[in-house]
Amino acid sequence: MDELTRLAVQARRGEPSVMASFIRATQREVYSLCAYLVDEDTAEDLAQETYLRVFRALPDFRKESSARTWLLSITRRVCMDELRRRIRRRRRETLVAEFSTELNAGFNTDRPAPAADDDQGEVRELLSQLPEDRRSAFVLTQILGLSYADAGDICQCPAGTIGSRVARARGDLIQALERGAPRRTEKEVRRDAMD
Amino acid sequence: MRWTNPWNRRAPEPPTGQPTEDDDCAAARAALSAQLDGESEPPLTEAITEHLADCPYCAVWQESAHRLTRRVRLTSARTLPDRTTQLLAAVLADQSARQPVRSVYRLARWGLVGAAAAQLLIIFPALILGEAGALVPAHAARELGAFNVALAVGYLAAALRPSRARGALLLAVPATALLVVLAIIDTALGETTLVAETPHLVAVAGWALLWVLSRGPQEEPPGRVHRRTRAAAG
Repeated sequence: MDELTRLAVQARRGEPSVMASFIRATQREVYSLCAYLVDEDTAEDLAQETYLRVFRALPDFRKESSARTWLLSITRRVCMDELRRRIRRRRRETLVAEFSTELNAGFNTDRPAPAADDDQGEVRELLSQLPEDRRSAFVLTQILGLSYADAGDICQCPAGTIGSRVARARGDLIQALERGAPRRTEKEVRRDAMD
Repeated sequence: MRWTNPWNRRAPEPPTGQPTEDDDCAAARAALSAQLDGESEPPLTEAITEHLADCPYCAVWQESAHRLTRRVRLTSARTLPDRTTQLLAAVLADQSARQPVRSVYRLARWGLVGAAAAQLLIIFPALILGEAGALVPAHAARELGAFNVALAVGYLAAALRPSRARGALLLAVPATALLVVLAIIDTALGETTLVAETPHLVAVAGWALLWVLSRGPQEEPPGRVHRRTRAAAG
């Protein structure tokens, strides 16, 4: 049993100091996954939501499994829920926007995309253009450094599938880099179409 | 190795490392990508090595993939503030808010353990001794015992892991419903008395407790992640 799993098993008893150690040992990875899979603005909220779910589920955690992959799969699920929520909201907003452009031409509620201010921001910008499954596979293996098998456990797919997603993500990113400027985001495309 | 129709190959383009629709290129890049990550799946087979020697697109791709991988791995991780205190406070607040709900479920679980024990105790004479009333043949009594043991096992399983409550309910609902309906009909027909049927109240209680548990928040699945998928990897 690895150190983190031992900590998770001990934290089941609800001792705040042990819970704090578990959080301290994992918060960076959780935050980082949220920031890469969703965005940096919401990462803090998503990390908190993750820990609420983690400690609710902890009584059912079994020591035969790895605490790290268990925790990261909950983190990923929280992120997926958020992305789904956004898609729903965007659909609704698009409907509303269609009405309001008819009434009030030129009215635009879109926020400008946050500027990529450093190296990490640039990488994140690139990754945000990948389809979700490839992005998950790429972030888990390249940025968090997980094996294909562990990433497969988190994404609930075979390790081989992770391998091909990583390869395709690499292809996409190489293409995006070769084209120089990052691909236009969906938001920009929509904004231009509305002008 | 996959056989590709030579007439289906695309016309040569200047090598840019762009992804192509070519199966050979896709297989080679998947293998290269895995190699970059120190994974052995998919393996660099002889056919792939041959393809890499011949294909200028894949050679460029390999180089770009190498650069990309290095760049991503060298990306400086931002220093994040330690938010342990806030996170722990949020978790503890959440847990105390959920405390009453949790104690209901804990009670339901212990109740199911009790129901299982009572069920086993009641059915013991039928199962072991074949005694279930003067009119019931010994073998029929044992078979009756077997079904009741199954019900008790269902209660225990759900008590140990509440996520099983829904599955157990599937079995307990028809069994309990029939028991109650038959008890009423047979009492009306004078085949039995309500007093003789009181042991079935255990089944009713078990059913109610299973229902309570199954209404519980469906927590995150327990910590075992899908090991089976690993065996199926390929």
